[in-house]
Amino acid sequence: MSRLLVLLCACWLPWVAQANAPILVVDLSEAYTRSTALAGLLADIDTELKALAQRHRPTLDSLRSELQQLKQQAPADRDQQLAIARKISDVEAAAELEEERLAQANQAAIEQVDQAITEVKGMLKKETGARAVLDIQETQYVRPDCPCLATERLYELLNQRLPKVELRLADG
Amino acid sequence: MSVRRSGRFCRCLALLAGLATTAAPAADALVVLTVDVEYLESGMPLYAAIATQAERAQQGVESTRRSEIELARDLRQSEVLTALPEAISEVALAANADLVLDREVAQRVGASAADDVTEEVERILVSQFSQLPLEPGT
Repeated sequence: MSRLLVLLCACWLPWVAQANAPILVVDLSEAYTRSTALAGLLADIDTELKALAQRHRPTLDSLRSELQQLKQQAPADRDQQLAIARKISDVEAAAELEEERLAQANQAAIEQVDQAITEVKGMLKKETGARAVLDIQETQYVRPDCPCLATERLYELLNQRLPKVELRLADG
Repeated sequence: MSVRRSGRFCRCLALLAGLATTAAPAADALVVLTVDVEYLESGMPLYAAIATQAERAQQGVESTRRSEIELARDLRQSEVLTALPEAISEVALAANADLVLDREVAQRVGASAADDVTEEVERILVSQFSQLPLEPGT
């Protein structure tokens, strides 16, 4: 009989504990402003895009105006025009390549933040003894003042865990 | 001896039950409901009724008119889908619920014992849409 009791304890108590563990819900819709890492990343991307435009615009503007002048001159030098058009195309291709590198670096940084979010959800689960941490998109309704909402704590932990993420551009 | 043993067993069971009931308020603190989202989004007879309504209206009409009726049917289905979150909220508020989860999600997080309110949500949608003409003013 005592064996039966032990068996009951072994099966029932963990089940009771699990059944009573809370479910937490987090809303990550404001992650780009609430996560210091993502907000910083957004600012870095903006700076890089502006710098990229600045780097190529003077060359492109000068080449385009040169091409325009050549077209207006009569008789136009076809070979010279083609050479300038090719230069413009090369500069544009280089700019596109840099944009691509920037997009890849951005993607890698976002993946780092996603990884940190997963870890923080795990920390949150452990900290509260919750059985699950759900994204608000996984729910159909959440009462606005639900004690299950743990968004603030999630951002607190996330900003401690990953205050900044680096934008690492691959060598071109 | 066996009477004493069974007495001890009963006391232990009572203790276990006590432990379970003392832990129960924690579960009660969060009112969780479930709905069958797949059914509400595509399986409800209401959608079939809208389709039948459209089919009937399309009988014996020219192709331009048929397209208009087809469009009206699509719009009505979109309206039902748009009203779905509101209907879920209505049921949740009436039940003073904290959370409403899809059945599958509830099962995944071990909350499948939660009350299912799919029927209540369906009833709201049916009362809202089943009597409406497919096209306003017709």
